[in-house]
Amino acid sequence: MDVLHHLATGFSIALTPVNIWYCFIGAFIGTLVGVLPGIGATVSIAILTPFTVGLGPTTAIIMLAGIYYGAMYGGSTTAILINIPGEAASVATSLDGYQMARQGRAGPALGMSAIASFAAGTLSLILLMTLAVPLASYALRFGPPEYFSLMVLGLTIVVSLVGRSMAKGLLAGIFGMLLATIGMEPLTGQGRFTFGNVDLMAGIDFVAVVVGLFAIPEVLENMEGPSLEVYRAKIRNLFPTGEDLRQSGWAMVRSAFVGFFIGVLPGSSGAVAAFMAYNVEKNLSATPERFGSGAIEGVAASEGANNAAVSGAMVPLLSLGIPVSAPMAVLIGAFMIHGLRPGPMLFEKSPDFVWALIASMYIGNVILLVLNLPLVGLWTQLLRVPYPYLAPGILVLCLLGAYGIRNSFFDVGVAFAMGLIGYAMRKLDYPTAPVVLALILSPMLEDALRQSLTISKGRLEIFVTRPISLALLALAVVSVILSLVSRRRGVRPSGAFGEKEK
Amino acid sequence: MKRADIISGAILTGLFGFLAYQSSRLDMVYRNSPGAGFFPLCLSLLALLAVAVILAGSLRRPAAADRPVRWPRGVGLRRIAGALGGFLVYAWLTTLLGFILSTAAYMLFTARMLGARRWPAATAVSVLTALGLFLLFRVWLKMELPTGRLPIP
Repeated sequence: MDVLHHLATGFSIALTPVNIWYCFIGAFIGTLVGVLPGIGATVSIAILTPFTVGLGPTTAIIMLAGIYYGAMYGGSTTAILINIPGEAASVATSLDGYQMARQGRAGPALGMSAIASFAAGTLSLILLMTLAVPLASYALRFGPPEYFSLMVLGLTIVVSLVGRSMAKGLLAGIFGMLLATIGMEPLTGQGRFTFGNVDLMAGIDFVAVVVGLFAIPEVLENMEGPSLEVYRAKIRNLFPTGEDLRQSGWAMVRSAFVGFFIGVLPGSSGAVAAFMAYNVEKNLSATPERFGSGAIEGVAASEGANNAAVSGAMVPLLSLGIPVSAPMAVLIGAFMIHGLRPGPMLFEKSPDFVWALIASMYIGNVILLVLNLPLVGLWTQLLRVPYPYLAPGILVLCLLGAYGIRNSFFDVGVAFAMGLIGYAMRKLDYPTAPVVLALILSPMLEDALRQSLTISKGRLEIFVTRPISLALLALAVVSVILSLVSRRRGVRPSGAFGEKEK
Repeated sequence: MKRADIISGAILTGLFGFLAYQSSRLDMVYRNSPGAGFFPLCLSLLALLAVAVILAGSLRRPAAADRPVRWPRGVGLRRIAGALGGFLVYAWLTTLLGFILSTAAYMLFTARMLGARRWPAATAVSVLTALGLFLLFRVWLKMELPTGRLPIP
């Protein structure tokens, strides 16, 4: 009952005209960037964060969260129409969605994509409410040592899942942590790696890093090859038939559960969730041979799961303050800019904000359904924008995003430098997302380490003498060992932090 | 990739070695807790360890199992160099010409470089994009945009 009461309060806030408007704007922009190649949810959230500074924190985060789940939907349009997923999470959708488009059934594929996103997204929100509240209550017992161990666990899981080489993933994470140390040290006031430069004293802005590492290399890589394909066919009959819905009904329900629980795990992502749900459906199907050649339940499973994964990722974000994916890491940065610190205390200190955000996700799912079915034609038109115009447009947005937070050309320079570094990292098989994750987590990790050692008078045993902390560290060790073993056997997990994550 | 890993490993060894040295010059202890240099020193040393693992792995890797790095060449390289050089000039131009003119110029230059064939269309799209972005970000979202020395925003 308490949950329903809080949810009702959340809806009363989220349903104000201004919040509905910004939720709509977020879902719209998210879908737009999901459709367009070269700019994804992570970059969009980062670029638009400066523009939300003038908004209230609730409105701002509602809009930024809308971008995230909007992008999850938008990515499916290009996956279905031209076999180029706008988001990594839509790769599984292209397997059957593109085949359906080739058979002249692009409309039902797009329609099913919207319906499954709505159904699984809504169902997963119920799971989010069920899980996040007790987890946050439990996490109230956490002290600095437990937080330190939790962040170590989060980082090790992410690092162990990334890229082809664990050492390169680890190095990328450490690089991000070192970037976070640049600037004035808050406790002692000593400058770290500032070299007397005034701009460096203020530290490195995370928006500039995200823009540089994600957007600029993506544009540069697209410039290497021939121009992207343009979709020209007309879309008809968006609504799936009764038979389509009957075939996909249970797939939507199952994908909500699969997507949600995969989304909760650090290092996982919409892409992993989508493939997992797709495989579940294929294995359960009486006619698995249809998968890959236009099975509509394959589209429903992957689209449902990648949207449900967003709700799953919200659980550790809201209840523990731990981002499990790159967009979530950027969202945490946005929380901080608005004076909010995600974690168990958020439910205690700002319940109205948390519940308004959750309520807005219900509203956002409805908006996406209403928005996307009639606007499929518009999204298709966008696919006709020639890349020679799109690329400089994205780079202009990069300049604006980097400049926007502090109105500083130094940050534009940082974005440019990070763009070059990010491009080289892609070429050399270094994953870029751990850099951002570590950049966000590192100050909290250092803070927790420092507080823990102050409590223990400098004794490191504090991390292993407290049961929860010890359990979390043991899990961190197990995750690394498991990862090493699976690599030795030639199984390479792919996750939220793969090279192509945007 | 082997050669690239060795060269990048050598560069990274120098970088993280330098950072470790810089960190070691900061306080290691502050009262009962770690000082400003403790955390970055630990990180730099960990980074050096990771670089060593990468270098060892690349040296041990047989040439047959190696995948070459696909650096851009020819047209691709020219496009990338043009876009990056143009971006730097664009950032500088905004401080002289303001946002609208410099954005339109950058859009036009890059679009033409990437293959937009018709001058009138490219010019129209560039000017309209610059004006649209100005209206969206400055007028509607009230964001500070770079300003130049001209009276035009």
